[in-house]
Amino acid sequence: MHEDDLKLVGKLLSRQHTAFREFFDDYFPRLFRFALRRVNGDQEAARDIVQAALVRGVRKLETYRAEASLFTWLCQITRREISDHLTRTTREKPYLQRLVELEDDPEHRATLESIPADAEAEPEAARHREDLAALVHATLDYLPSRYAKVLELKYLEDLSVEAIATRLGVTAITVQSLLARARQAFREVGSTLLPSIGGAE
Amino acid sequence: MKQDYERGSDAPDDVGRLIALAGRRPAPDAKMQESVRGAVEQAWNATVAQRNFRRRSLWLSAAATVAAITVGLLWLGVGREPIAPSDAATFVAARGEARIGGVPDHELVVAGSRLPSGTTVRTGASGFVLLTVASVGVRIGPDTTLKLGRPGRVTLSSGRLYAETAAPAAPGPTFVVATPFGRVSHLGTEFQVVVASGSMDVSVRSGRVRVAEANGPVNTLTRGEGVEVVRGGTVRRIAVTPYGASWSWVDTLEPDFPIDGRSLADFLAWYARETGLRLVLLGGRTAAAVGHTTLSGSIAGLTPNQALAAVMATTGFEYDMTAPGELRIRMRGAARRT
Repeated sequence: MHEDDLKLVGKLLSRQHTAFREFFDDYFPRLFRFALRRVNGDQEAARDIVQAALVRGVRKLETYRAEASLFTWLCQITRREISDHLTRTTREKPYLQRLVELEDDPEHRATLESIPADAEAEPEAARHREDLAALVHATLDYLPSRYAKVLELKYLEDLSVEAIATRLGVTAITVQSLLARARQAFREVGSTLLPSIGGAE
Repeated sequence: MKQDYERGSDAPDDVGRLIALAGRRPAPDAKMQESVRGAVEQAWNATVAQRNFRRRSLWLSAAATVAAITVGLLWLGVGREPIAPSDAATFVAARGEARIGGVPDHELVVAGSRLPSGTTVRTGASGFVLLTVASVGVRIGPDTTLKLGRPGRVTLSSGRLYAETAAPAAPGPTFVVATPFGRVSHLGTEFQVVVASGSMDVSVRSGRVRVAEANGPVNTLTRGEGVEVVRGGTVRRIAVTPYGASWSWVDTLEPDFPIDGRSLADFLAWYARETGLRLVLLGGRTAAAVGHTTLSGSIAGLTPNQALAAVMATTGFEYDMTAPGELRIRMRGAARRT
C-alpha cells in the first residue's frame, strides 16, 4: 500500500491547489522522460502523450487504489497512450511498423546483434554511456521523488550532508538516513533495469 | 566502471558514481511544461468539481428526504408565502448569497425542485441562481429580487436576468418578465434585462424580444438591439454588442454542458451561444473535422472560456479570438489567414 501516494490523491480529490502543483511538478518531468525514451526522443510526441495520459489520469483519480505506486499507475496509462500513438504513427509511416516487426523478430534481432562492432570503438562507447545514462535516469524516475532528489543533491551537486540538510530543512541525521534508504531503493529498482548493480549495502 | 559496481565493495560510492556518470536527468522545456500544466489543471478542476457536485447532490438528496419527513412543509414556505396550485419554475443551481423562497440557504434546495408560484428569489452581491421557467433557462444575477408568477411569468423588481432557449419555438406558455418599467416578452431568443432604481435596460443577443413599456408603445428588438426605459417614460433605442463585458456575469453560472460523447461541433456551438461570439471555421476540411471529433470527459465547474481552453488543448484544432465578435477555428498547423 502506497500511503503517501494515497494521501496525495486524497488532497487532489479535495481540490487542494498546492497538491496539484506538487503532483504536476513531480510527475510531469518523470512521465515526459518515460515517454520520450519510447518515442525515439520526439519531444512533441512525448508532450502530447503525457498530456493525454495526465488528463486521463486526473479524470480517473478516484479509481486509484494504491496497489502500485502512483508513478507506476500513471506509467500504465502513459503506456496505453504511447501504444495508441505508435499505432497512429506506424499507420501513417508503414516503414516504421516494418522496423518494429524486424526488431521484434528473434531471428532478425540475432542477425542485427551479430553485426560486429565498428573497429573504432568510440561511437560504441558513447552509445553505451547514453544507454547507461538513460537507464540511471529511468531508475531515478521510478524512485520516490525525495529519494531521487537527495541522491542528486549528494552526487550531482556534490553537497555535504549538512548542506543537504539545510537545503531540505531537516537534520543531518535525517539526511543520512534518507540517503541510506535512497541508495537501497536505487539498488532495488536498478537491479531490474541495471544488471550491473545489485546486492545490499 | 562496470566492474566497480559488480564488486559491491563500496556500494554507496558505486551508486554515486553511476548517478554522476549519467548526469542530470533531462528536464522538459519550461514553456512546454506550462502549456501541459494548463490543460491538465483544467481537467483536474473539472473532474473534482463534478465529483464534488455528485457528492453534494447525494448528500442533499438524503438531507432533503430527512427534512421532508421531519420538517414537513418547510420548503413550501407555509405561513411565509402563499402556495399556488401550480409549479412556476424548476430550481437548477445557485451560487453565493441566494435565498429561495422561505429557505435561507440555497444549499438546502435540491436541483430539480419545483418552485411554486409566489416564490421569491433574492440574491446578494455574490449570488447567482439558475432556474428553468416555461422551458426557458433563466439566470439571475447579483443583487436581484425576482418573484415567480403564474407559469411563464416572473416579476423582476430589481437586478438582472438573462433568458435563453436552445429551440426558438419551444412549446408552452410565453415567457414574460414584468418590471416596474414594462413587460418583456420572449419570442425565442437570448436576452438580458437589467432593472435599476430609475431605469430598465433590455439587450438582445439573438432572436427577438417584445418590450411593452408601462402605458406606452410596444417595441420589437432583434440581435444587437436594445432599449433603455427611464422612469418618467423616456425611451431610448441603443445598439448592443452580443458579447463582451456587459454579458460577462452570465458566464458565472451557466447550465452544465455534458461533452462526453458529443462532437466538437456541438461544443463550439454551445460556446458560441454562451459568449455571443460568431463561430467561424477556417479551411475547407475544418467543418467536417469538428463534426467528426468526439469529446470525452467533463467541463463541469468551468466557465465557457476555461472549458474552451481545456477542450481545444486536447484536439487537433486551434482557435483565436482576435477578430472582434468572432471565434475562429482552424486545424492545427494550417496556414493562418488574416
